[in-house]
Amino acid sequence: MMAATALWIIPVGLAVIAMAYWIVPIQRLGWVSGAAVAFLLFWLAALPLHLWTGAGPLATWFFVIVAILSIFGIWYSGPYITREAEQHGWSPGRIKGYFLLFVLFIASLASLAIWTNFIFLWMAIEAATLTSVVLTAHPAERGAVEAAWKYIVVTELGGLVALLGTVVALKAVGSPLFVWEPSASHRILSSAHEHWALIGAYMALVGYGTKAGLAPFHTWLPDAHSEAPAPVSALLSGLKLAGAMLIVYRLFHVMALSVPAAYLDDALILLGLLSLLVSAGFLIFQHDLKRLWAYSSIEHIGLISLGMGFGGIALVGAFLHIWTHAASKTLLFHNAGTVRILYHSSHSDHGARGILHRTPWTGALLALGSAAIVGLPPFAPFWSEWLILAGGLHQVGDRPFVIIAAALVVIIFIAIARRVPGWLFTPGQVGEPPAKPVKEPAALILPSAVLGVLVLLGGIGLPLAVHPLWQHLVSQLGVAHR
Amino acid sequence: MSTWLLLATALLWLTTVAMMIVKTPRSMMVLYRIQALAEAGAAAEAAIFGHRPMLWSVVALILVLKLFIIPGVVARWLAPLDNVYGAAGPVGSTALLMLALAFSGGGILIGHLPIGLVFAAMMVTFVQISGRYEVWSLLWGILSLETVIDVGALTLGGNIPAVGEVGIGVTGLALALVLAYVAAQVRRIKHSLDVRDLEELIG
Repeated sequence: MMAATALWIIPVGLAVIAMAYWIVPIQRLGWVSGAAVAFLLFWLAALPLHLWTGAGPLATWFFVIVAILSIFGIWYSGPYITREAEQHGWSPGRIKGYFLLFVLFIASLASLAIWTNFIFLWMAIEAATLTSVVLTAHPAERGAVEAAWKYIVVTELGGLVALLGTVVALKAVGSPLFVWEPSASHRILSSAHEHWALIGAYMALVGYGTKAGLAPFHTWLPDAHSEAPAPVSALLSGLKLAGAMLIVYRLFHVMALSVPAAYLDDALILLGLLSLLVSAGFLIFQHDLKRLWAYSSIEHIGLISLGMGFGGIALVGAFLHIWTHAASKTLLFHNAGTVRILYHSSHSDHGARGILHRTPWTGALLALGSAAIVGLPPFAPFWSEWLILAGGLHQVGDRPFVIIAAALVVIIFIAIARRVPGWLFTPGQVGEPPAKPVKEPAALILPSAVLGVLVLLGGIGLPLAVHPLWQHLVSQLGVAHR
Repeated sequence: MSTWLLLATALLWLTTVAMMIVKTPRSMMVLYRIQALAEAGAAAEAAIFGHRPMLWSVVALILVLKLFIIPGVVARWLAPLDNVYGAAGPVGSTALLMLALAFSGGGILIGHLPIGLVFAAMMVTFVQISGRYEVWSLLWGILSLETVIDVGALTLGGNIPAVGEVGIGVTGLALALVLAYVAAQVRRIKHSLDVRDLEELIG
């Protein structure tokens, strides 16, 4: 099947499945979720069978990530939303509305992966933003609604500026605005055109950077991630932020031969370092588990930005990091959702402590995910972070930035290592009677446990499994970027 | 440079400034409709002088969406705010106006007319969104910015086909729907228009 057909069948198919949630009785929602999972599995399985191909290795790679983690999101949403609805008295309409919007959100993320036309990419990121705003407000509690308001105001300003910036930049470099296979512009620009190209590029960077949660445009992110239902926070952090960065990469790739690439790369490096700095500064003060992982997302999106800015092998590291961060963070946000359900809070000062003793599976998964996300070997984020920093060291001019970034990564490691025991263990004197164990429903634990195994194996197995794809990516992107 | 386009962008800028200083949601809605006429004018100019007849569908869509559907949806969601008078602001309206004029000058200077006027209008919406904090004022500020950016895309993006412009227009409708929904939720929860004290606004 041609890629052009899949471009429309995948998002439209998911949208149709999303609508089915509204039609079927509440007892049959599981069937629709099964259909959504089967649909995504089909398109995943069709890739190695060459029944369809994405528009280039990057699109295929991101689609694989979106599909795999969306399947986990749909799977985990079933038991999670059932319990959330029980605890907060959700009506059947509200439950159906959640699933409808969630699958529409996934459809927009899939579009973000497979579409390559800049106008349609903008529409896809807007659809992802708008569906996730409504999902953030879905619990209808004060904090959730306020977070959703802040999310839409800040990110829509960014989104609109990004559209105009893209138009200005592409017009200045003489590249067509509405093509499905944009290629690098080779035009030699006059000084005026170069200025306009850079103004447009920076506007797009600020706009999409806001969508990606890059500092200093990140102010919406900790609130939205901590208030949204856990499966939404997971996809927001792992996929939507990275999707916005991929649009920036695609745009800069088109422009890189017409304007001095250093101007574009330096901006990515600057925002990346600033994101690490903000993350390092705020992580140490967090007492809410979801908020902790929200600030960690700012760090990791900063690392992806650094990798794109450094270029070469660091760029490959950045693309690998999209997967390693997304998988680990999906595990951690699902785990934080389980903590919130079981302890009625994810705040370490409000009862969510002693998790390892009271809920051993949840505690073990928190420990595993935390070890992965801070970049401990042999977990996969270690390899991708290593590639990013090692790639930066190869660029002589970037070495001071790499040293600063490495120092900030160490500070972030210390901050997370200091905070996580606050949830895992119960402080107090030795010999005190242990807190009462809490029953862990298997339906909540199983999706996270399977994902935990994937995160564990991913550090060793995944680079080997996708070796041919990576070789292709290295040869294509490593050469084309510079 | 077409006089038609210059008139459209001048109308866009004027309505944007007026939306920044206006005090009631009802007046805001009227101004938004006039602003939509400016956008439709820019699209019509591209259809006539750019020889792109398909853009007439965009003109029709803009008129239907922005004269009827979007104001209707927002009015329905925010019906309790219909007669609200919002004079509050961290700085006075005169100061906002001066700031907007200064930014407008900057916008016109960096871009030649008429695109300079689009940049100027964009700066003015930024002033509005930074300087006002009632829910309805922010909501209309973002919708105003959406119109301004659409005009920018129409003016500069000469080779975006009608289907792309229709997509941008439909995205604008979705934005209005979600904004109105969340604004109504904020109103329901806070019983107030002032969003300065949002507990979540802690960075």
